[in-house]
Amino acid sequence: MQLNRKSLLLVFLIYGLILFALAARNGEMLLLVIPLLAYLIVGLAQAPTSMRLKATRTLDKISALAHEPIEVQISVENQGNGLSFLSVLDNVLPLMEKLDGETETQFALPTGIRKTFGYRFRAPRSIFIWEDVFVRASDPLGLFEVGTHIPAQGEVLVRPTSMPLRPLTLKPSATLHTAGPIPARLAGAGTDFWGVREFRPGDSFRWINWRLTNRHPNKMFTNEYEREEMADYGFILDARRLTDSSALEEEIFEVSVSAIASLSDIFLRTGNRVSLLALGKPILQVFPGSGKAHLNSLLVNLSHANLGGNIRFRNLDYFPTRLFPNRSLLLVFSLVGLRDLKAYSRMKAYGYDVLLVSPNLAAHAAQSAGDTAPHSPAYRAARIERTLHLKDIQKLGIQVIDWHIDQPLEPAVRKAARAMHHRRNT
Amino acid sequence: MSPRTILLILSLSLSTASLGAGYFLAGYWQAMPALLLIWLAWFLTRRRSVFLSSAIFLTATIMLAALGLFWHIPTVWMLAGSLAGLVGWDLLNFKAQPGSLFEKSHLRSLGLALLVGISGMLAAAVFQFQLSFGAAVGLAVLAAGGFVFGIRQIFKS
Repeated sequence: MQLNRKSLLLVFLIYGLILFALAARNGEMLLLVIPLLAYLIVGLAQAPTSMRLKATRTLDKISALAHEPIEVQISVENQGNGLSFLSVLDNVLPLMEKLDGETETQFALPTGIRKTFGYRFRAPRSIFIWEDVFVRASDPLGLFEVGTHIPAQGEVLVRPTSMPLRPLTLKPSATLHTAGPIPARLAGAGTDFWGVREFRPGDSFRWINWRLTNRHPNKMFTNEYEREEMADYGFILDARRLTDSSALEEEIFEVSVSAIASLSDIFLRTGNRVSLLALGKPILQVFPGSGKAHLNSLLVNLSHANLGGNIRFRNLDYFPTRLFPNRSLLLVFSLVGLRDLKAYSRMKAYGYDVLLVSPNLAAHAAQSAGDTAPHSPAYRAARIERTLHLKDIQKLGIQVIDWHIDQPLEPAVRKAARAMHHRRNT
Repeated sequence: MSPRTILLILSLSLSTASLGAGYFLAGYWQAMPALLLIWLAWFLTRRRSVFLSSAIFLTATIMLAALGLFWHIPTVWMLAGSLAGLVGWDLLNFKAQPGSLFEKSHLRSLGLALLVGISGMLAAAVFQFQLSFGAAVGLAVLAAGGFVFGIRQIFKS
């Protein structure tokens, strides 16, 4: 039990009056002390000594999209002595934006009674975990308090918002030998016609090419179809801070996260494997996997991703090759730093197909700055520098998407997909 | 207007009126600006902090009552003023939904505290204890220690 500032003021006044009465040698002045003392004693007599409370936190959803309203309900049940005043305070976690309701409430709570309060909030991409609520009981006059934390666990995942993307296929040069959606340029079970060969025992009669067989009376021929296999996609999210314009970098980072969430969803829905490496703070790794559970795991990791510098990964040199199986298609979301060329050449040397999606920070900064900025020497210099970097990377055989984030990503990715398809077939 | 608001207005008015009447009847009409200053201080600080404004109000009321007793102004006026000031301070600091269980228990406790306080004052007025010099010095030392402790706690909190 502890005194609060209200009771301390009374103590201060009581002692002040006693001192004044003693100094003035006036016994009548001590009469003024009596009501204050009575007030304190009545409060002390009714002060709570212990609490037996049980709190329950209910969330209307366990997973929500960024900026989607989430409702939190907290119930408090008194399993001990009746409390004439109880204040319940819930933790408002960073990034939470309260929409309505109350995160703190006061009420009287008799024995065995349960009271509920709640609020709604929205938040950007993150994970919110609550462990407890803070409760403070006091006497009816609010002089003596007992405060404690009681468990009220809850967790909600706020996923990154997805971009509107229609299903698309990026065809890597090599596929896994497991049934999937990507044409593997090999004969086998599939739907697209691949060729004709002589009939072998065991072939399905439904695949016999009757027209060709008719032309060669002593032979039978079977249609072959292109095998469809699973592909490995690896996302590298470059979350290093490269410039001083942190607000713009944050904005671009959020858009990149959304793009990865959407593309992962598409690739996993069509039965491929996806892995993720986010080079930021913290460094996040998701090993290759497929299915809905894996998509959830990816989204959980993306919810944790934050921008941040990291010296070890500064030049993208030391990415873990175990994370990306041989001949994966790597989709790198990066602003492109000065010394990244070496890392890209290393990726190519390892045999990966690489698609670089590079959000155009300079263009976005110029657009944010106003109409005159695109003609400024600074912007022109940044544009030239960026163009040269991207050209150097393209020379390595890497497909590059120069992405203006105010424009949709889908057309650019489709264009890159067509180019990759063309290169794969030639 | 809720009964609590009416009680608040009544107690604040009664506090000022009692102190004012006591000072005025004793011929200390110069104290009137001090009463106005209390209201002014309360009015200026109430938006910044309810606790601060109410604390200023209570402290000033008690100080004026103590000074009045020091200047031998009739005790009844000063005690009535300080009691009403205490009730006003309590209600200024109290926030609850009208008619709630919490409000009822608070008002009940306030009534009890007033009853105990008035009974104690009457008892003290009837049975006047005479303290020896040693007891008075001991009480003074205790009061001084407690006073210092109280100030430290206020600054800490």
